[in-house]
Amino acid sequence: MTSLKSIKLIGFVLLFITFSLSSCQKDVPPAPDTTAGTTTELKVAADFDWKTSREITLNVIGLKEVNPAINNTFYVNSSAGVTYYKDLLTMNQDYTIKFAVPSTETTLVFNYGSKTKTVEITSSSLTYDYITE
Amino acid sequence: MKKIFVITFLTLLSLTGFTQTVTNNFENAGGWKYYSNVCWGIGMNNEYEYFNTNVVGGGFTGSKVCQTQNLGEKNICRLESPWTNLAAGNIEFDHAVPSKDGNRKLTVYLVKEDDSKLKILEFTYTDSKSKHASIANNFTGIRKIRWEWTGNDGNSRGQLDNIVIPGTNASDPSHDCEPMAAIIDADGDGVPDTQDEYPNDKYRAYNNFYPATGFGTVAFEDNWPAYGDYDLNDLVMGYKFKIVSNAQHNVVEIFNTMLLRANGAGMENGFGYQLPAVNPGSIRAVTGAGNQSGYTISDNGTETGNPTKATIIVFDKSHQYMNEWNTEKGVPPVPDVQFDIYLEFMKNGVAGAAGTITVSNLNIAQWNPFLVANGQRGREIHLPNYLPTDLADQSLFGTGDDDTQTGKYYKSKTNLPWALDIYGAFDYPAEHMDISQTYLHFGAWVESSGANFKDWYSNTGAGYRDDAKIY
Repeated sequence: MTSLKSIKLIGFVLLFITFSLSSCQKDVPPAPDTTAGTTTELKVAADFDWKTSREITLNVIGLKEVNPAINNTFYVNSSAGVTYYKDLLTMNQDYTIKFAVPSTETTLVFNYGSKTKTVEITSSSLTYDYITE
Repeated sequence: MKKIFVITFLTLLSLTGFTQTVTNNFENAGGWKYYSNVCWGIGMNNEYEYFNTNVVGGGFTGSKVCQTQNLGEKNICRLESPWTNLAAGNIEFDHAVPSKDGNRKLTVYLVKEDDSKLKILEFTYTDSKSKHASIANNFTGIRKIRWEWTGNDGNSRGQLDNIVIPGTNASDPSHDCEPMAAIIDADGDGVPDTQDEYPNDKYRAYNNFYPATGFGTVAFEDNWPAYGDYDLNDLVMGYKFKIVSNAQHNVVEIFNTMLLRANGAGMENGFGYQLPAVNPGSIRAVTGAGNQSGYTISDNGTETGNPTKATIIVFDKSHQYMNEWNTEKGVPPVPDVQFDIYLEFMKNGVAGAAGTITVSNLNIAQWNPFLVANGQRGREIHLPNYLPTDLADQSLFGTGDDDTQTGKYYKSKTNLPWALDIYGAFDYPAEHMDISQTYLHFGAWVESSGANFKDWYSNTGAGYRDDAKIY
């Protein structure tokens, strides 16, 4: 009888400890990951542009030997198939094209007819010359 | 006199036998990769069986030739011309096995599209000297020339240079170098129907979108030149541009959808934007904007007073369109207010008075949106480092918390902005909720100058935002 009482008492104590530990924790709101508490406390570099997009200048180098002229639609796509830019290009002419992509974009896929080329965005100025492996 | 000149010219042409030719002297610095991309069947490791020719130095004329791999390793090596619409005339080329070792033979074929072939030359090398071949051709139609070197002993290679084929190129380098196919182009604008988004309209060809999908967002604080509470919901606009262009790359029209999503402000704020690369005279008409009282609008719908940059006023007073703020927790939201603004640049191929502008030069990502605070036209608030319009009150620059000066616009002394442009959808903070405490990686993005957490405005994973602070 006594041992049964002791077991029950231990069980209640254990339950009490468990609930008290779990219910003591307050709901703490998630915190920003900087030491600045508010926006006005942020340390901002003078040259930060605050942009969430990136402008790309693409220099297209024509294949001058292509004769007669070949016209096709040139697509600049994301790897997921989102089209950032498209236009008709003549294959033996040079072009300078400007378009914007989200800053999170790291790869572009250039399509021209059967030619596909994937490039990493390493700079805001890229070159495409129709040459594929 | 003119007749005599024409007759003489034509006579000279016939005497010289002027005709179009397909040629290759292998001098392009791009080497085999270049020639492969302009449809010469050449290269390392390509799909041609037993194929292994390259461009190397030591040419018969110039500095480079086409050269096979060592025939001791392969029984056969070949080079092919592009598909050529053959004309009558001589097929000319130089060839050799410059370090002849073992038995070597060159066979030249005319190849048809069904891969059947006709031998036109067979030459067995007896020495290493270069040879010139001139093969009379009377065939016409689409053919390739194929050069095959064969041999099964020794270690010598074949070389080829100075190729001249009578006829015109018939390969399409944009379609796997297949013979050029007839293009179906119903409206005759030069864009194939399979690619033309307006196949029966010669004045239109393509749609380009900005952002590429969905809507972007611009969000403002309206207390400039003083700081506000940085909830960035005093005015929140969704935007989308559909740019229609023609086959000559020119902008024909823009369909601009603007969504008034929130106006968490006591002031009656207006909104507009400038297209900095567009002369107002390039726009024939603007329709679909909201009320523009207090603004002076030209006949073509652009705002006057900005002579070099087209300026569009979307509306004058936000609360006239949205009577709720759409920022206060517990207050039911009201729907976005949509403005469908149409900008006409060309009509039936005719541009505005200031001429055309290409899609690339338009550079729509450089659009310059601004809030007009409380009906005061000169008190306009722009994105950081975006230029004011000609109607901005520059006496406000450098007052309050603003530090605008030459080379620095609409930033505070500590480089803080009064507006943000987000490439995509944005769930804005609720009233009085500081964006730094709402979007938990915003501060890290800012303090890393954009290197970290480029996706701070998304909900990519846990810990990106405090949902309790979002409206």
